[in-house]
Amino acid sequence: MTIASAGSTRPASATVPFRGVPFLIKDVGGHERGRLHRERQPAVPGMIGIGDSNLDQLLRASGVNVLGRSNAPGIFDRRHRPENALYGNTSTPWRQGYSAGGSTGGGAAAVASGMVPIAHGSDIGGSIRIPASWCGGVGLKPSRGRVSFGPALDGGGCRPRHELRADAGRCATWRPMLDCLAIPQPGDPFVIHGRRSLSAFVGKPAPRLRIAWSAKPLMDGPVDPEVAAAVAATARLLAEMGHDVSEDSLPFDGEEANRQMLSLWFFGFDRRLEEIAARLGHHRAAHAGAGDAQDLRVLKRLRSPRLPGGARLHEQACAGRMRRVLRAP
Amino acid sequence: MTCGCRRRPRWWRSRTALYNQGRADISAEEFLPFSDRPVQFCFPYNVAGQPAISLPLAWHSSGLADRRSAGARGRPRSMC
Repeated sequence: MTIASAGSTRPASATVPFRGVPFLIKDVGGHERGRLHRERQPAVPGMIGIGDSNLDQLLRASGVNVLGRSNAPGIFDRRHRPENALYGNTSTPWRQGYSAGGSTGGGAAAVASGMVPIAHGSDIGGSIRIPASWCGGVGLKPSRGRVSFGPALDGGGCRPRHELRADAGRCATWRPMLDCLAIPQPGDPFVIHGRRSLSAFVGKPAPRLRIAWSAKPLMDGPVDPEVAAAVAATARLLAEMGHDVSEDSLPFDGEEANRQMLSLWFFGFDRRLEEIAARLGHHRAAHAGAGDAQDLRVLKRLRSPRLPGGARLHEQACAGRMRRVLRAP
Repeated sequence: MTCGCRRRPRWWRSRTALYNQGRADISAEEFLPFSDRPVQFCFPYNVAGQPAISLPLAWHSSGLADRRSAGARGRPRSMC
């Protein structure tokens, strides 16, 4: 399949490669006109999408049959787990009660359990790859900006979003799907030119690769010895396959990278909260129950002056907006 | 190529106790390690904007999934 010209949502090929294929969209971004969005948070009574995101249009052009939305954390949650007071927790399909990981845990669990062959996800700090790990699937995060995240900030934010996942037995499915989605759209802040179709590489032998591997932690906290041993075993296997494999370490400070990560994470977060507040008229919904107490606990934590520098600046900036959204003291 | 996560999935304390938001006992200082340490192998690729993929190449003795994570250097004609 060749790549369509910028602005078109149609692949250049006349075929619709995913016609009728059941599909799930993560309940974060990818907004659809007329669909109710509650941001998985009891304090948000519901907003109706006023337009389709570029992703939604691209997915429709691919032919997928969108069955619904998959679970994710609440909008005020920085945790990477598909757990919220509105829809509950999502388990890995391998053992009930153990987290599916996240934030795209709903989509990962659905793919791993065979509900759908492929699902949408988004990845700001590992939200595709973490649940792929804990559910046993394949998770692909393309380059930043490869898939359009417009047209509105609320439709996906200026973040490296919209990636794909598929279970191990059907990993070929995301190759043509990326060809369908990696089409530049009007308003994209930048465009990556010259992408080669993944489908063109299917069935061809891989060249000899230079592969560095590491099982050393970037931050505090030991790596599970069994996990580290599996990484080393994979490295040995790759060397036996003829690749140039060497043990190395990532050339940066993990703590500093995490601080930069916080900037990515909170980019536009305050605007999203402002938008929610504006749509709600700054009135807190008349909800009662555990969800309200949960929201207030999050707010209390965000207001803490004891967070480290970068996080404090971002999170305190958000706290004022959250106060207005939640009408908290 | 690195680990995907440094540990396997954990058990919820109860059906209604959410990992994060339901825990009133966790402080601001504890929050960041609690949140980001387990996923320390993932976010560098987000900071750099590089493509990355996770692959299920092993099973933990606990019977739960485990995987490897790989990233690629960004190139003008990158596939992903």
